[in-house]
Amino acid sequence: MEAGGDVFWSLFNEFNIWAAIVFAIVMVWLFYNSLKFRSSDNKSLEFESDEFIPGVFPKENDNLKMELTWTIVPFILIVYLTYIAWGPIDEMWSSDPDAHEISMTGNQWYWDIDCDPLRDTAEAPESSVEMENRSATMFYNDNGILICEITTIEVEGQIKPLLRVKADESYGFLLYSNDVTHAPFFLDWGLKEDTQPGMETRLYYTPSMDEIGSSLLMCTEYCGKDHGYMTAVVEVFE
Amino acid sequence: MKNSRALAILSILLFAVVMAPSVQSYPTGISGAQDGGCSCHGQTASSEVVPSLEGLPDELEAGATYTLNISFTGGPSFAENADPTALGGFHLWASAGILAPVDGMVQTNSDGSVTHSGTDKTDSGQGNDQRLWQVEWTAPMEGGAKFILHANSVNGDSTNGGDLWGRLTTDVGPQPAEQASGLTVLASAILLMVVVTLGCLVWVFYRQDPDSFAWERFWPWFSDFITSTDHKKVGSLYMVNGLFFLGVGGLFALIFRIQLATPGNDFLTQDEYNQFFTMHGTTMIFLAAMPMIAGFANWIVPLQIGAPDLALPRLNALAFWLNPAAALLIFAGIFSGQGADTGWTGYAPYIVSHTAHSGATLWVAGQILIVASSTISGINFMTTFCTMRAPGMGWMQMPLFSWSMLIATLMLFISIPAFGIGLIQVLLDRTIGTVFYEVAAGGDPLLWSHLFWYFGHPEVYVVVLPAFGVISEVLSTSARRTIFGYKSMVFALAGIGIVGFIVYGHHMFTSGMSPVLRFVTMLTTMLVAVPTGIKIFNWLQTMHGGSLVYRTHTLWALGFLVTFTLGGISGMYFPAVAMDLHLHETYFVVAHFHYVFVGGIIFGLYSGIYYWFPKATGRMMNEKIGILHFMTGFISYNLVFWPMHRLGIQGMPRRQHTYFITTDEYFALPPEAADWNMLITVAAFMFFASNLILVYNMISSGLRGQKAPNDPWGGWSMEWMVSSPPPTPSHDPSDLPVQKFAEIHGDEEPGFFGRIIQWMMIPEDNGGEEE
Repeated sequence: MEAGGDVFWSLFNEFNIWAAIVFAIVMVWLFYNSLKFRSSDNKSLEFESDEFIPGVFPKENDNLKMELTWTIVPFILIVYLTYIAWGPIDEMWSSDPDAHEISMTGNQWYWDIDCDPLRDTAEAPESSVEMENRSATMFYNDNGILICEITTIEVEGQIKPLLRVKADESYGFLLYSNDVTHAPFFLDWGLKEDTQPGMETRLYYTPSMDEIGSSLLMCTEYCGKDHGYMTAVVEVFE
Repeated sequence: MKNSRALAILSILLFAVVMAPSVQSYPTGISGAQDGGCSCHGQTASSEVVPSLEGLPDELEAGATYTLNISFTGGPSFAENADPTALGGFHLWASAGILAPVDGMVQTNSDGSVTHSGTDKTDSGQGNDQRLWQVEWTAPMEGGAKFILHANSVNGDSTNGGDLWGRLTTDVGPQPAEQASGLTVLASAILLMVVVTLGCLVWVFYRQDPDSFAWERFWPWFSDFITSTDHKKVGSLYMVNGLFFLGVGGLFALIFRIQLATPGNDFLTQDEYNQFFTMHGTTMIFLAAMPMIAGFANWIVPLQIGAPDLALPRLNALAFWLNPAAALLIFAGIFSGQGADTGWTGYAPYIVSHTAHSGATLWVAGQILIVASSTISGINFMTTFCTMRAPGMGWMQMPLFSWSMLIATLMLFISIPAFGIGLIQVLLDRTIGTVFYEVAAGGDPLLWSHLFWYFGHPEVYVVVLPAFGVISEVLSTSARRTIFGYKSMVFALAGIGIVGFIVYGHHMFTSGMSPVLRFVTMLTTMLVAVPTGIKIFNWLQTMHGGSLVYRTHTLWALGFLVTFTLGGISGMYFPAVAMDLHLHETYFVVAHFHYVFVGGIIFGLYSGIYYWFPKATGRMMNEKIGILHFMTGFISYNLVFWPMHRLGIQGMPRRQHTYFITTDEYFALPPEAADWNMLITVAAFMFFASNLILVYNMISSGLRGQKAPNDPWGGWSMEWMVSSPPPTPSHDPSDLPVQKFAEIHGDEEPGFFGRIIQWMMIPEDNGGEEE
């Protein structure tokens, strides 16, 4: 397993290449200029230098073409990077009306997870109202397949919630908070979104078959004393 | 006469500031590792519930087993309508020996403490139907033990509501010497720093004239310093203040780095850790970086633009003296054990919730004084720039350090009111019960984030632009070559200044704010790289065709180019939303902003210290010690912060007092993360130590260094025209220097914007003459 989702890694690798190129250019330029154009004895003026006199604004030293070059070329690179960073936004933020909804409520300092937050509400799909096997800790879809289960797991000596979700199913996380700002961080998926009191935020994700396994979920918006212990585990099963 | 009045007002202000807010602290202070084990129902202990622990002997026998009876009285469990299926619970922790259950009513936790069974309300355990439990305790082979007992009195309604709890601490046998808490370590270290600083002060006084040393002359000498309105002396006060708090902020970092050296460490409790990282950030930004920049600005700007002093010297002194008062307020909370634990960002609604420490009120009050100080000095510097430039010095002929200060001041002046408003709202919420941030009363949970980051992001540029200015001066002088593209440097500064205001949304990509705003700020954030890139390439090109002289300040400037480029590049990863969702609030962010703050700002300011020290003190700094400082500092700095990128990508969240390593059960950080953290901690101590070399160098060179000439490095700007150290007033008001030019400029006439600005200003020919 690896922290960060596929979208993260594909962008990250591309950005790394460009970062390495830019950094290499700067370093070569820096070392060339600072070593080649140095004063041999830390005193004498070599090459063509401008002599400074206190109180006298020195001679101009500029070159419009060069300055325009390193305004326009980085700008083009920026436009390109923005363009490639643009595409995945759609993937991160698009909502899926067919997603199975799971609510996660942040509290100081524990997560309340509900596999079936819409039960007993008018928004619950009609077909599922008559369904059996519906409880807050388990949810079976119309075909009777388990797609969400909540149990517990021990993390460093503390009992924490374990959320089990099925690979290749689409999930929508409805995020709420009962007190202050929290943020569930799905380590393996490279996703996080704040939970705000008085506001609903959402996160959509379809775990893939490659992501089968358990990973730790941490709180990544500072929320007070036991912020560091506000963990849970998310398991993707087949 | 004037001085004593100022002192009286200052002491009244200080008295009012100290007396006004009432501070509440827990009488028990911060307790130890067992804090995490209390799964109590509710936030605070109730005096109604009295736990008892019976069966401990008077004389402890090593290795013997005792049966302990745990019970409690009082609370809802004893009410008439209490449900007999859920009456109470307990948690008992012992510092030594082995606790074991006697029957099924009790279970053992993995940390060795014991609690009642049936902790999960849905399981069928019987332990929570009781008010009396029995456990066995086997005494350790040597020494005594401490016990901490928590008991919940439960009303049986299956929720925590209405339940009450109590705490009992007791001990048996001989007790070990108490281990120093992180707070004690910190307090001792700060005290040591104060003593050393005062010692240095007295020594500096003594060394000035050892032959005629007399204590009677100390106070006049000292009070002249602290009541002065001269820009150089206020600048020195700012520098001492800034360097002192740079050290204090470093101490905070060292202490919490010890905590993070190994996973699951208990050097600090989570409560202490939260206060320490909050104070680290606040101290470094508001009490170290900003005063150091103000120190440089005070010292250099009037000298550089050919002015006798700042335009409003008394306001300048006031702006400085608000800083120590603010520092007292900000630190007041932490020594009561209830320091601000909000993070330097102080996010609402946490900061107005009852779980935030009471020290947060003082922290907010201190920040308001910082806002006042910055606003006052902003007015002062803008007035100075507009009215007191030397004759002949147009806007586009100001040295670049002055330009960077002008832009930084403008940015601060425009952004900091938003922060001030937010702080005042929070202060009112916390003290007189207004509901600006109370979500239940209709408050907006994102309002603070918007106000804070509208200020917070420009603030980053406010502190980094002066460092850019220093680097421009240092590289140009060291290469003995005019800065390449002076005009594009100024426009890049202004460009950063403008774009800096519309990028702040990238701090809030995960906050649930409007997607439109997220998208817009993604584009603008990407755009910041363009003016920043122009500056870096211009610096590189400045060296081309020059004769670079390697001095300590040159080395720091070259080091700045390396680290700041890295910090700038890593910043490009955040505006890409898809990456930010993973990297947000991880150590990748920590690595990025330390590469900008330390590798950018602090390296730039160190360069400035070595560059202007001869001008300020009249003594040259020791180059050998300076190079040692650079080598140790640069290497250990990179060892501290470079591995943090890796930890961040692996998903280590910031602001957490511990971290989790992958186990068989679940995936978390890889095992190597613990090694990297240990490396970071060791390197952090090296980095801290390397900075002591600078302090030593400043003191020893300031007293015994070679005498400095007026223009030791061959710079062109006007500070090099006056003697070292400069006279007071810095430039003779009756004979102000006139800016000359090495070549005839075609653009002597002001341009379009120049005409507008000059139309708004007092005409230069009669400014400053009508006193």
